[in-house]
Amino acid sequence: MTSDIILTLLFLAGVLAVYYLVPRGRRVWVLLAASVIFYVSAGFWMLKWIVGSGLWTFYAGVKMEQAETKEKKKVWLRAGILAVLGFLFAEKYLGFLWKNLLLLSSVLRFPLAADFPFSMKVLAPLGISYYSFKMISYLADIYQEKRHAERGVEGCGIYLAYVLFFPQILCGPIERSEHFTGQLHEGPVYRSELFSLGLQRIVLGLFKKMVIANRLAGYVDAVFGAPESYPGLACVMAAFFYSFQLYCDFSGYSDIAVGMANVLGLDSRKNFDCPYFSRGIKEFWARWHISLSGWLRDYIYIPLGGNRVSKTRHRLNVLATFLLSGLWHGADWSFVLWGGIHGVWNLVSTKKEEAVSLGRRIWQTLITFCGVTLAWVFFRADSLGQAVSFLRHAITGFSLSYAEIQNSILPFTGDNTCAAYFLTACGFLFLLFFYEREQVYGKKRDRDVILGSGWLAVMTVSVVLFGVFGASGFLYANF
Amino acid sequence: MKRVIKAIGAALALSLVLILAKNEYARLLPASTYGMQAVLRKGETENLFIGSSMFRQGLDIDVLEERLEGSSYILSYNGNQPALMAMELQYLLEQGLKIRNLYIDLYPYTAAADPWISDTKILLDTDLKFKARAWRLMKDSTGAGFRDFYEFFVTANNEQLLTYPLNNKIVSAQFRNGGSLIAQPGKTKEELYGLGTLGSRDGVNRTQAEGYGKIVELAEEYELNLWFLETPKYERMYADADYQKLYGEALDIVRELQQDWTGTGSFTILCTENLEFDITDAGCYQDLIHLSAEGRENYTKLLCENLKMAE
Repeated sequence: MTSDIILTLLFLAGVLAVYYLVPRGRRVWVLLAASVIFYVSAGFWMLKWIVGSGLWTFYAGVKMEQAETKEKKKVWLRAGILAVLGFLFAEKYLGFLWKNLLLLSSVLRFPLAADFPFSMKVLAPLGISYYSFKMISYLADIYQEKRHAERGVEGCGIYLAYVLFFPQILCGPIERSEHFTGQLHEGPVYRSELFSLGLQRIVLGLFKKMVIANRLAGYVDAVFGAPESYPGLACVMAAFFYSFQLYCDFSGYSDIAVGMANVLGLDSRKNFDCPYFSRGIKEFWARWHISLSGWLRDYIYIPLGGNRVSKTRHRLNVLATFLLSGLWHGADWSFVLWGGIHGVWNLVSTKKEEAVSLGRRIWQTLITFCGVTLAWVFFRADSLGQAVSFLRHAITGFSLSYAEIQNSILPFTGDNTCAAYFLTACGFLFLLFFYEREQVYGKKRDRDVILGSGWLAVMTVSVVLFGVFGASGFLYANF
Repeated sequence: MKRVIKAIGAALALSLVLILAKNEYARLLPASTYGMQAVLRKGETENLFIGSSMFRQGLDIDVLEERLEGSSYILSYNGNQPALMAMELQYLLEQGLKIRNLYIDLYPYTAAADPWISDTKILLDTDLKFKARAWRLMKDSTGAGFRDFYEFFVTANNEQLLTYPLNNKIVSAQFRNGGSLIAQPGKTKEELYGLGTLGSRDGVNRTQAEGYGKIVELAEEYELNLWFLETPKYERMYADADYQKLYGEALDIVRELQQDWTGTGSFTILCTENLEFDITDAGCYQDLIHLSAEGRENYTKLLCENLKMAE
């Protein structure tokens, strides 16, 4: 259920039917119940992890606030965070560690048993990377006295509703606790402007996800799955299409998740701000997965000393933050390398001047986009070796002959409808480009208008007539 | 809020109108060089071949036009099944198409499949009434659900329609009178043996068998000469027990229909085994079931000779 957007929206409609009928003060309990049902529908076994770590961090928060000395507070902070990180490590990284230990042991000729020695599920609980970060930020904020700990039965319910919040459990955004729980304490209320904003965001998200991301998914999967079977041009196209697929998939889900929060009467922050219009890598990270970037900045980079340290230490801080970001996305060296590429690129890049010619602005945007796309290849490939052979084939097998162009379009459908699918995909990418260009360079709209009437109508018609409903999973749910 | 509701409401209403218009009127777009609309606009054809990709890859339109009397047209859709072929034939005849000789693809794998529109081009070529009948057939036989319904009536062919002026030119350049102009190269024996076989099936589907019957009925009613043709498969297919079993089953059904034939025209079954086609020559095949350009030309020449002899 959790990976099917249409069922999720139907579930939301069911929740809404009850939600606004109960008194304002009790809506948080409807939200919590709905979130538990939603989570359980993906697998009952996962519930114990999230509820267990949720209750523990709730308790640690209370104890931390009650502690009289800084030392005692620190003990509870560590106890809470270590438990969360312990779960996260055990579920997501133990296999990766074991794989590398085996490799190391074979290099050092010190044999280890080949079987994984722990009897745990290989599949990590749904959303563990997201809810773990929520819990950590909650504890860190209490420690830094940015917020008070939740207390009592109601506080516990509010905290669990924040952790389990069903629209955002799958792939974020990683909402900050003080912003979210504050609204739950007040009691969510129906606000026409917010509801309307939510609907617009849902339509925009559906357009990105169903019309663009799902349309490109088949092509990208086919070419990345067997790059040597296709021309080099197809690999180049697949790399660029993956850039768009990932963006539309993830930002589409984020738009839907934020929109769902809005229709539930909750204000939520946007997670993407037209990142492919960035003129440099620093700007890109200010626009891409904003909630994760902000989290890493506030809870990793700044505690490490940020830029208020020596130059060398600052560089190490940046690099460490990006390597951790890579590792957060997945337990594989290709993700670590991807994080490393972005870290190094960040270190060597300079802040872009505002007053530059249009030509230079376009050039900077294109260079940034191509660089980001190149790094995505490591992100998408199943392993480091596959990424390298994919890039090698893209270069050595590249040609622009008529036959190669034909064979590069063919993977869309595998028959004579491929040209139509290719042209349609390009058409919708242009549509999104024009929409986002208006967002970045056009005149600023009212806060409650994301889509003007024209855009709203065009995107709704596109979703109805061109939505691809088959491939409905979300890429970022895997991270 | 009112603005949002109005915009979404208007968009949904517009979508509904577009869906209805597409399903009824898309067939009236400028015709391509293949499919049902192209042959309907010709008004008549002496020889009509209805089949799957076996016919598209297996019949050479140049050879047919050169060696058969009168005009020829190859109506082929991917995976075209007997039940659907019967509906297509009925549609064409009801729309007034004049035919003398009808040739039907005897490919047992399509006869073993559950009734389904395996090529959405069929939907682009037909009216709403045809689609409703096809949907009922699919639904009754397979229990197709809402998602299939949505794909069938709402999203199918939208990409082709959106890009029609350009896409139709590109695709139509690959056909003439329904015959493929693309020359696919042959393979080597090693390559063909490297390919996987198509696996087993649960025998001929009842609805598909009825489809063969319906085709025979229509041929009788419209006084057509009827031919069932089996295009050559690679020797490895004929050595496959699953294929042989299914092929035998389909052939038995058609032979039974031949015995009960009451039409004024002829009823002939022409299989590969009746022709002197070299099924061991890998260069004549692009895969285990489809002929290469060389194989297509050789087979069509042999076929034309045999058709003339049978007359």
